[in-house]
Amino acid sequence: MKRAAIVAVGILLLTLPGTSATDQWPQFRGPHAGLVPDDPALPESWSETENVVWKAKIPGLGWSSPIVWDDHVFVTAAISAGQEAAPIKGLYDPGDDQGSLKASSAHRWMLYDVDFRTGVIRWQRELHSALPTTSRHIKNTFASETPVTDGERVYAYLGSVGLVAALDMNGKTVWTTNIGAFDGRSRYGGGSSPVLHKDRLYIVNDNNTQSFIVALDRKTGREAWRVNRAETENWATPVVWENELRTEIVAAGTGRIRSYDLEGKLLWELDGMTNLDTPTPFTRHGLLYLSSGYPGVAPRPVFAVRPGASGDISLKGDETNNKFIAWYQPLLGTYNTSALVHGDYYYTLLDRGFLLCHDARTGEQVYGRQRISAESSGFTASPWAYNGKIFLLSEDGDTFVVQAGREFKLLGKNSIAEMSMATPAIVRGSVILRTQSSLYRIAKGARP
Amino acid sequence: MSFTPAASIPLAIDTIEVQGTHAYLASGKTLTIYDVSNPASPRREGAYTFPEEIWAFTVSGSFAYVGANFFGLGVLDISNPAAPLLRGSLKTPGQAKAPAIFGTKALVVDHMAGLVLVDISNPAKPVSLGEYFVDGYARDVVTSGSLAYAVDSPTGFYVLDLAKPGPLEPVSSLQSGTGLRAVSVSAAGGQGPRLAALTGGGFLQVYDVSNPAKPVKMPPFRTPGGAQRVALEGTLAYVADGAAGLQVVDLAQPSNPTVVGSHKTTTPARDVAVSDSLVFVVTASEVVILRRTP
Repeated sequence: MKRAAIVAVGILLLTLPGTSATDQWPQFRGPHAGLVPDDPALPESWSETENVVWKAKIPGLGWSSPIVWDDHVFVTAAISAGQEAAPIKGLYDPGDDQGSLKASSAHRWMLYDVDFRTGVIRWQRELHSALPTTSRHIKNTFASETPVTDGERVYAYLGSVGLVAALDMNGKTVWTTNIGAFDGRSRYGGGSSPVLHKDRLYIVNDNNTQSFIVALDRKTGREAWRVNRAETENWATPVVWENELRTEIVAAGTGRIRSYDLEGKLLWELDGMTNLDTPTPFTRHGLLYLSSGYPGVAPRPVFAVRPGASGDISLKGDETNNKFIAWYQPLLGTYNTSALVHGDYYYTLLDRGFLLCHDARTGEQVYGRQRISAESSGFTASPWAYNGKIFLLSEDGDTFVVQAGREFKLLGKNSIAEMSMATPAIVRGSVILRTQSSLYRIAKGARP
Repeated sequence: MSFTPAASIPLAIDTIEVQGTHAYLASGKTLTIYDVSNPASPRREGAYTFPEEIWAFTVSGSFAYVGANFFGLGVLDISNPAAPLLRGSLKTPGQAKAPAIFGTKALVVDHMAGLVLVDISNPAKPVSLGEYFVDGYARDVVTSGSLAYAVDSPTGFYVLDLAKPGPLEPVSSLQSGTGLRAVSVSAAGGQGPRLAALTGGGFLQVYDVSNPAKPVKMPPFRTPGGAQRVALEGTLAYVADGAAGLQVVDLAQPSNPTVVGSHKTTTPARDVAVSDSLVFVVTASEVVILRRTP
């Protein structure tokens, strides 16, 4: 009883409002593309037992990243009625089928609301049940799209069945709509998450049938506009870029990046991405960063784009910049992870376990490939940063802590021995980290 | 050049190597050894099944070094072909694919790490000596003397000197290929320039590697069936050429390759090995043993 009281007080202290600069984490990578305001309360070391406030089992399989609003932690998962192939860690050649597989049994797609304070599942809703008609890569899941919330509703997108659902914070369905489910060219399943801006929810679905970007009314789910696209697959989440000139929606894709205004009109486009695009575009220092790096092809570009472009801004010939492309690196693109800009530096986390650092404004190399760990299986989660440190979560569940700045220095490793591919949420002094089976809340000084 | 079928081994295999009187065939997880001293009547001797898929292997002395996927590098004692015995193994960071040997060192293609250098002086306990990361996906490696020739997909061609002490660093590297997947190199001391022949993207890509520090890329040569793998003997490239079967390409003038022989197979050719006057062509359904006539 006494121990329970101490835990309760600990929880109360950890959840006091105003203890951290980041109060909400409403979308994939949070409000600032993985950059978290410094906060001495944030944990810098943890294990399966150290600094763990709670651990919650999440039934099903899902690599959607957790999002947080007030005391609500949302994740999705898909539960199979049968036995499905388990994901295998690492970056590997999956053989003749390129790793694509079909589900063997019917699935139930779930949305979970986990209590931020206690880790108890507050409510869970079955959003859909069916035998998936689309395929997935052996490492992917049927619930890899991260939901998004505005604090009134949580919006879940299930690309494998085409369902978009808005639920209020009590789990009551407000609306649902189906925008179609399609296989992409490689039949690897989905991953591109929805984004919110003002009254609209934006979703990109690039596939082998008819690719599109769609804007839905966030209150009703009604389709405001839909624009067809030429790309055939894509796992990158679009970014709403509010720059000094305008607001635009930028969607990466196979071969080509396109930017749209808020009514779906094409503003500009850029050629040169690889045939598999996963990194999510993001902005910092007035620049838009775009990356694409499937290792089996070249070039694997990173572009830093200035605002105000129109038309085709692709580089010509041997150009490395132009009026709207501030800088270009031909072999810096990543396969799955998104990059991070912290201070003046652009950090690249290569899936095969290297960190590189470039000047965020000029693209000049600060340091080249630095091996993070010879033992790691690979990296898919995107990096995040606070307190002058960069955090790199491997698929093994190890979070490597690296000193930010001009010199590479590995400071430590925090291990949770389970496969991890979701990017954590960081709010109010806590890291919410998802592994294959569980969700962890990690906070300084906590004991489970 | 013409070819006469001597026999066939009715096995669907992936890759082959022939050393002396024995042919080594890999299919799935299994390496099978055939006695081919009488080419008209190949005889199965023994086999070993690994826990994981075999991507490639090489035979050196009384050992077969096997790239066995996530199992790693397997060291298989083949001194008794009837009963191959696993003597040791080393788990590499990712999928172990193609090994190549120089003395007591193995250079192993690994999908995650690139190239892994392994001390094999104790077959029972191979030890990693270091890695060299390649930008793309490392695909294949061969050695000739102390020099190793490696390719990564999509573009990389690397020459490394395994006799050189210290960290593994290439003597040279070029990023100029197209979808490279496999490499073969002509033996030292032969007539004409020393050549490396690479396949991938349907092309035969030849490099003059007479100066290992400065390989010279020759114009790519498109074979009729889409080159899968190649075996170099002197300046002749024996190409497993998909639906076109076996194609023999004369590289005496490497800037101007010429097809000097061919043999159509009933199913697409996927690998090839040459031993004296015999050519072994791997297809989807069998290994065709051909006698060649100049």
